[in-house]
Parts: sequence; C-alpha cells; structure tokens
Amino acid sequence: MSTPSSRGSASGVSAPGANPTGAGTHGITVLVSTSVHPQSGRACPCRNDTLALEIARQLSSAPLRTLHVGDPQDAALPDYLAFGASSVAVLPATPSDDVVAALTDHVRNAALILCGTRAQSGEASGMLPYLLAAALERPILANVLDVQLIGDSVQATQFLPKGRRRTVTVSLPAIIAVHPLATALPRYAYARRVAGRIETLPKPMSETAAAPSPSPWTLETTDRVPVKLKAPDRRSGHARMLAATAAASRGGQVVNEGSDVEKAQAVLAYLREHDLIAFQEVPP
Amino acid sequence: MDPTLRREPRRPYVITSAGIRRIVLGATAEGVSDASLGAIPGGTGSTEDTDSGVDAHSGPGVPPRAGTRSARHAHSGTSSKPLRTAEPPEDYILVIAFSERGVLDEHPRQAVAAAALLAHPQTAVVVAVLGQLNEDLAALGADIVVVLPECDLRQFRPEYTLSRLSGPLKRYPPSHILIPDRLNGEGDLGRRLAAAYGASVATHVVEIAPDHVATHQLVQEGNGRPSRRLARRSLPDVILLEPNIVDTRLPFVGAGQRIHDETVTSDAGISAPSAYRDGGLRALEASDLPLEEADLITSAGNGVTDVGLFLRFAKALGAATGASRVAVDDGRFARDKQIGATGKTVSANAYIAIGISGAVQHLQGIKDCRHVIAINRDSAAPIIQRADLSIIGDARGVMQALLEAVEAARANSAADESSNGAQNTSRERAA
Repeated sequence: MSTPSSRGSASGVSAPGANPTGAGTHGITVLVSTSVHPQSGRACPCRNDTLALEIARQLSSAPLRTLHVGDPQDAALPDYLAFGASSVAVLPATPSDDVVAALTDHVRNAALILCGTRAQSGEASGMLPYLLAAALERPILANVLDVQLIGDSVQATQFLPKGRRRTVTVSLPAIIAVHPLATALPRYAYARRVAGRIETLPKPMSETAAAPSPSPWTLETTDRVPVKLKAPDRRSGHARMLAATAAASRGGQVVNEGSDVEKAQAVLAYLREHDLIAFQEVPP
Repeated sequence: MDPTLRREPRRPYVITSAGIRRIVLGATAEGVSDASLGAIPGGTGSTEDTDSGVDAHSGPGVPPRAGTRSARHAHSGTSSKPLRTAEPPEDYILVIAFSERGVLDEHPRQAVAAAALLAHPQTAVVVAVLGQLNEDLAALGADIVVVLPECDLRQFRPEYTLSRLSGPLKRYPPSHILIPDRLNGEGDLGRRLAAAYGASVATHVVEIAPDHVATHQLVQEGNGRPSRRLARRSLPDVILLEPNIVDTRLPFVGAGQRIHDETVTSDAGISAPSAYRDGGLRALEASDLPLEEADLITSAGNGVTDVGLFLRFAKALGAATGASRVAVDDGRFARDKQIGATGKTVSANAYIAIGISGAVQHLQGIKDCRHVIAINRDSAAPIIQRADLSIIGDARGVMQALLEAVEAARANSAADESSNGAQNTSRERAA
C-alpha cells in the first residue's frame, strides 16, 4: 500500500504484563485513536473507539491491551482510562509515519483486535482494520454491532441498511471494526482515569530507518462546497428552465375506475411486480 | 372578433388527468418529453377543471398548481441520445456494485455515471454487478456489463466475491475502480479490494473530477479552532464515492454490452475455504425501525380519519408508519413520525402515501424513495405527479380492501408453504 491510510489514527495494544506473547485465546487488543471535538477543538477520544473498548470489556474479564499510535502526551488518552482501559500503551509516531507498519508486530499475538470503524480526524478513511487484516492475513468483520465469544470463534452481528442485520461467525484470530450504532454503552469514571496509567513503548528501530512517504493529500486553504460532477449542459435556456422546475416528476400509472377491491388489487399487483413485499413470512 | 390567441394545433401537448389537452406556450417537442410537464407552475393551467379541495391538502405549503399530467401523449416519446464513443477501448474504468431486486440503487447508478463522465473516448466503462440484473445500464453510460449473480448480498462471502472479481479485473485491467461507499456491502468490499491489491485508495470521496478527488478532513487551525476542510489528491486506483456527488443525467448512452464470456464470469477453480460462516440475514420488525432506515413505509395524511384501520393495515403489510405534517399537527401521530422538510427524510424502497396531497415539503422528504404509491381522492393533488401508481378513491375503502387482500395473500402463501416445505423466510425477505 503506498499510502498509510489511517494517518493519525491510533491503535492500542495493551499488554497484560510484560509478555505480549502470553495473550492466549482471550488476548483482546483494542486500538484507539484520538480526535479533536468538532465544535470546541479540545482533544477528545474517538466515539467509535470507546464503543470498541466497551465491547472488549464486556467480552472478557481478563485485562485488555489498549494501544494508541501517536503522541504519548495526547490529552485525549486519559479519557480512555476513564472509559475502562486499565492502561494505554502508546507507540510513539508522528502523523507522517505509517501506522499499519508500526502496529503489525505489536498486535500479531492478539487473538482478537477491536477498533472503531473510522477515525474522526485526519484522513479517517476507515482503511486501517483492512490493511492490518491484510498484513496479518486475518479475517476482518466491519460494521459490527455486538460480539460474542463462542469457544474458539467469535460471533458478530453486522449492521446493514434498511433494518437488516447479518450474523457472521469467524474463528480467532480476527479483527473486528465496531459500527457507531453498536449497543454498548461506554461509561466515564474519573476514578479510573486517576488510577490508570499511560505507558510509552519503545519506538521500533526498523521503523526509524524507513523514510516516511509524503502524503498524497493536500489540504485546501479555504472551506468550500464540493462541486458535483455533471455533464456539460448544451440545451436551450427554455429546456433547462423546464428541467429545473420539473423536479422528480415521473410518469405514473393512475387508476381512476373500479371498486375498492379492484383498486386494492392494483396496489397489490404493483407491490408484487416490483418484488416489494414478501408474503412467505408470517406477519408479526 | 374573437380576441383569444390562436394556438397552433400541432404544437406539443399533454393530456391531463381530466382528459383535457394542454398546450404550453413556448414548449418544444423535446422539452415536453424531457421535463414531464407536470410541474409547470400553476398559473398556466387555469383552464383545468379540477375538483380541488376534496381531500387532504397537507398544509399551507401546497403550491397553487392546477391538475396536471396523468398521461403523456404518444408523440412525446424518449429522444434517442448518441453513443458516448465508438472508438475501440484502450483502457477501462471499473464500477463495482451490488444490485438490489434486480436493479441498481441510486447510489451505484451515480458511480456508473461518474465513470462515464470521467472516461476518455478510448476508455470503456465496465460495470461488475454483484447479484441479478434485470435492467439495461446503457442509459447510465455503461459500455460493458459483467453480471455475477452468485455474489449477491444474501451471502457474506468476501473471499469468494474478491476472487470472482479477479476475472473482470484481468480481462479489463482498469485504470480506476469506482465503488459507492455505503454500508450495503460495497464499502466493505472496496476496502478489502484495495487492501488485498495494495492499491492506492480514497474513501468517503465528496468531490470527483477528471484530475482529482476530494474528501472532508477535520483539521485544527492555528488558533486551535477545528474546521472541516477539503483535502484533494490525484485520482487513486480505488475510489469510494459518497452519495449525491454525481448528476446521473447524461447527454449520451453507453454501449451496454452484456458479457457472457466464461473466462470472465465463471467461478471455476474457486474453492478457497472461507474464514467466515454466514449465520444469515434477518430483518428487524418494521415497527422497531427508525423511519430513515425503513424499507417499506405507509404514511397517512389528512385524508386518513380512521387511524386504527391505518395502523392495522401497516402491521398487516409489515410496513413502518409515517405521517404528513397535518396529521401530526392534528395529534393523530407522534412528532417523530413526521415525514417532510421539517420531519424526517426517508429513502424507502416503497412508500405508500394515503390521503396525502403532497406538499413540496412532503415531497422533499420522500425524494429518495424508489416506488411511490398514492391513494388519494383528489386526482389533481401534487403527489399524483410524483407517484408511480396512483389510486384515485376513498382512502378508507381502499385501505380496508387492501388489508383484506394482504391478509388473504398471507394466508394463501402460508398454506402453500406448509404444503411445499419450509423455505428460509428471512433470506427470501432479504432478497
């Protein structure tokens, strides 16, 4: 991958004790990123990541590893302690470093990696879990609402639009990205914030050797509304005026005659023709 | 003697719902066919004999429109558009999208249109449709259409889908891959594709142009203030598009050639064991669903007086319930049921408007609905212009008849099913 996708987003691995290889079957790692509040500009935790942390806390009573890649002095990190992480390990990195490369070795032993679907600031592409999965050759489930550990595998409910949900089971090790609508309810406790600690991990030597690649993105200096891509319009002024005033009106069928029963049948036939209704299901 | 303006009898016209021929001064034949005349401002339609005020005018915002089109005259058929390019393709732009109920949704349609607008004369637009496809994509600018019906949304098989996509990727090596960025499956698939191929990628793209893409980024200004700004880059390999950033009205058509080549579409040699075990799709009960997420909505307006019948009807249909502003202001429905400019904007597949005249504010709220069915006593109501099927009649009687018909159909299919053996109902529903 030429572009480090989730620049500035962080992932955390908290090691239970000094031995990260001892993660075992319940070695759960939560990757957390930091953000700034869109209104006030104050440092704040990423909501998706707090959801991931809460889900991880409910999964297992064993201590979690929480890992952030970025600035160890970030003011948002103690908030994760307050949300229930006993400690946050930080891999020092500058915004131009490749987060995935820095992370791969640190999470290799984790049985389950949880993170939010996307970061809130920076590029926020949502690519990090996928790149990590590709680097570690592990299955990834995105947009997950809730998670259950069943033996050696994990069962997750995925969010789909239009009120649909999908249940998928993957065997561990796996990566799970949590959807913002997840059912978990993170709770903030100041006592945990005071009790927890932030650990700074040593910066890997191999990482310092690799020169960071420049970001392909350039920030525009002023805010503006994005321009919609459209075909050049060569119609006459009158035709364009008509098109502008006639909004979404399309030709429709009108049923004027017949009894109520016949009209009802017309509606039913339309619903069936376009496969809009399924009668196989017994009504709730 | 007669001071009325003489009208050229062969001028283009439309037949209104009242059966009256309507001529619009200054309109050309093309204008008649392109912009269906239903929405011409009401002042010109004063000759119409409408029975307005009979039913459900849902609020003060109803524009002063007279009765308008119900049938277009035959001579205003679709004008044929030119082919985008006749040159043999040298490179390709690939669009990947899931189909739903045999057609592409609005969001993937925009991705196809974007590819057609970006394409050079030597570039062919290839559309890989995952799932059944029953429509012609030529009007959207697609030149080559590859349909992979086994890869539809019913089953979650990302490895299988990715390896099936390698067929079209090899046959038509694309310079760019355009994918709608949505939770339906494309956003997930596109990111998997980019990660698997190590491709450069831009996600949540809000602006696309021949030379760059742009996304929103939250940055901190020098004074500590946060601000959302556009970040741009050159076109990467994989581009995941946000909705409504492309206008799908094109002045040309594509070749729309459907590929049946076995080397592209066959799944021979794909037997990789999947790491994922799909436990199936299920649909939440319609009443539990937020309106914005619902797939089937019945909505009541001023014309619905029997709320109990309406709710029974919605339950029998398995539909979420909404209401127009008048019905909500009246206290018949809760405020969170209101659909329209001051309420919710819905994007249901099917929207059944009962006793709703269709003020512009309400039509705004349902602009993303694919199929609109209107039941109304007033054939001149604005909702009739928007609806795909309009029933002119008394809301209560039609609802009662429909309720009975739906219950009978359910009873029949339940009987069929018990005799034929059980099917996986949740999958049927999800399809």
